[in-house]
Amino acid sequence: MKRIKNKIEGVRPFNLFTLRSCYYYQTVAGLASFGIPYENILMGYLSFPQKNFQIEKKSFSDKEMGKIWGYKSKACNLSLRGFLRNIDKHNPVIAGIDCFYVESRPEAYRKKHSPHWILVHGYDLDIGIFDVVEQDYSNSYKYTEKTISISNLLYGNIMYRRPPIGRKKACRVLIKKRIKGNGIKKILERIGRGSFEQAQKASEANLETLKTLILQQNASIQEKSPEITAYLKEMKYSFSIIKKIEIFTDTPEKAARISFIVAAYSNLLSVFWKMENKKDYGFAFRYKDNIIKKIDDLLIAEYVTYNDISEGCKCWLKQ
Amino acid sequence: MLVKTIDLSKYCNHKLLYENIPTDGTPFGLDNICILKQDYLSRKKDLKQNTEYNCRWGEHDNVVCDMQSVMIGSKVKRWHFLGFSYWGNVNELFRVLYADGTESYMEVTFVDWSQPYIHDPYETIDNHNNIVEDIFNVVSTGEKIHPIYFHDSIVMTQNEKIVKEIILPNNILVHIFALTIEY
Repeated sequence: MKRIKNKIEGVRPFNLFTLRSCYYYQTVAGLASFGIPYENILMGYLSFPQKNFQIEKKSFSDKEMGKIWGYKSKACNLSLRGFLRNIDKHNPVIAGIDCFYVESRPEAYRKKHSPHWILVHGYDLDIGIFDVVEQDYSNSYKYTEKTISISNLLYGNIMYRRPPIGRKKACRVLIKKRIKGNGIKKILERIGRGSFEQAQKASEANLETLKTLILQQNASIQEKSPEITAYLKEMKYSFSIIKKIEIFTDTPEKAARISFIVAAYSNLLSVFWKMENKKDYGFAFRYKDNIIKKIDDLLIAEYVTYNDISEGCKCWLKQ
Repeated sequence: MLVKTIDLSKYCNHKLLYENIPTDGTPFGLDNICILKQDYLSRKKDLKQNTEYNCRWGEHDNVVCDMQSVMIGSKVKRWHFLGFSYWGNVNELFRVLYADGTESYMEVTFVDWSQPYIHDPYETIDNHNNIVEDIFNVVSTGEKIHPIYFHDSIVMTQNEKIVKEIILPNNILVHIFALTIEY
């Protein structure tokens, strides 16, 4: 007999910190229904500092992550029947939409074309709704479980394939597969222990340059400010990810140290936001005692943390 | 639980609350934005009535965090930091020193003064022992006029030890107006 309603349990909206795009938020939320914890997926989103305030993102493709953690992300186009069939098989669907056509996206609805991804994990045909993970527009941009009109989502999904968005495949179906081997070990092998050692050296060089720029009090801090701000933001988010990965925070001391690093990058980022917005590039120099001490403490905390991570990798890679 | 307000008078090192806008050309408040006493006193009723906050008036009225050591001398079940951060939210780390010689770290979430607390995935506020409550907002005066939100950054602990003192973080963009503990 045809089902009227069904819902995949176990999806977990992700709100801990900024990920790269809505697609990543929906991927981690959907994979939670397979019992794959956030932190396992987050390991694939780490960024690594390079010299001269550059960042290297060690990107894992969906295919690679799927092989490591036991899932497949299948790109396809789905009709209503396809959505229902996948939900009945416990396969959450990440649906691309053009926000111009979707009423639950008030910032863009009938105003501008913009691509977005929504996680569909249930349906109720009696009242014509999909259960989705989507941003809560009533109070915040927090991702939450809510319902959305089936007809409106399908319309937005079809229009995702038409210009101006014009993507060929408008859905990603998450399918559970068997995990082969140790996922953490595989990710660390792929990243390579050496990456953390290089990251420590590059970050140290950048923080020393930052100290020099602050103390020189000349135009170069203004010139480099946009680049430094972007760098500090990436470092903050990269350590926010590290903070959530249990194997890197297995003692209170390690966890506190990483929390300090995240706070220190937040603080430095705020300093640069303030300097840029107020066009007051002497601010950091006026408070140099506090800021230089913050950077010195950050240098020590990062040195210890990167060494801890590197040693942790060594143990995992021996297993 | 019993409530105790901690006297921050000797730690205050910044002024945001003024009788009148200074006219002598010297910088004031935060980037020449301040709160007038009349606005502060005529604000709408505080959202939360059951916690006592000991705010100050005078030469200095708030604490810019500069690694000050604040004496506590009590067990603490719940910390209330009334204040805000400037130029973005931050989870700051406080060092807690106990009477028995041990120590630990406590993360406190501070929310920007220009906004009410709204969970925002674009910022890093993820400590589950922390709650942030908006206590009141007051309109600013000076270079910019906007609501200034005072938040209660609450931290719950399970520790039974007597806290001797806490060391504030080194963050010149975090402002604390009052500290209340429940024990």
